[in-house]
Amino acid sequence: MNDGFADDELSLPKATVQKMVSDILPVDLTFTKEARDLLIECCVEFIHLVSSEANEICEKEAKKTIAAEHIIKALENLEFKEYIAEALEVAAEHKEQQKNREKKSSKFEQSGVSRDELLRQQEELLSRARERFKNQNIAHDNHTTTAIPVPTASETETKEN
Amino acid sequence: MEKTYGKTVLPLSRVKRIIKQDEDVHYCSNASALLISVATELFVEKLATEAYQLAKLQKRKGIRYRDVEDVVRKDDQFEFLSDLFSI
Repeated sequence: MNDGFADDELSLPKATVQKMVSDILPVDLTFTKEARDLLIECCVEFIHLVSSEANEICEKEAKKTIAAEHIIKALENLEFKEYIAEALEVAAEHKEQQKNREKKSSKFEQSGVSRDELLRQQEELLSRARERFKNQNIAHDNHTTTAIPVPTASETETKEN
Repeated sequence: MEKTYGKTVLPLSRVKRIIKQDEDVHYCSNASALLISVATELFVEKLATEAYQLAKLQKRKGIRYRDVEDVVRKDDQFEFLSDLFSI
């Protein structure tokens, strides 16, 4: 088994898969590193299997882009029908989010401010923040006393009583 | 399990990269990658749950490599994974 950098790129993030599996299993349950890595490999195999099947379906229709319906058909053919409903649900939610995002971006276009102007404003804000931060650090280093009020002796006495 | 709206846990860019590993694939729409991503999550959850059941039967709380392997060997749905294990 190859554990090179290239493999990580083509694989799935270990922490993500680990968290995903931990979320569905009881809290006190653990799994070994080897088991986790094996699950990741299984995921990759699954992706290859479904996309390969979808690609064949796609080519039969003389299309070049694998579309959602090809994936659905592939899942059916491969006897993974049980995953279709939820997959479609998430896809619909995603589409809804995209629509909302587009509404927001058209607001930006209507604001009348050019992209360059916005970038300039952003850079200005950033450099101001940088200055502030720098000054804060210098001030912190120079300070020997602070301005925090300290309770006087009489105040503490009344409290104790 | 906490579910985020319209999102999957697996990074879409990685899923797309894995899909494109297949030389026969020309283009894959984002919607397709998303569908595969969700299906993959459900798939691995099922696999992990079945492995957990096996571990539980043996009164263990930790899933081992062997548990996953045993699930693959006994459940037809996971047969395509058997190549991952040396004979």
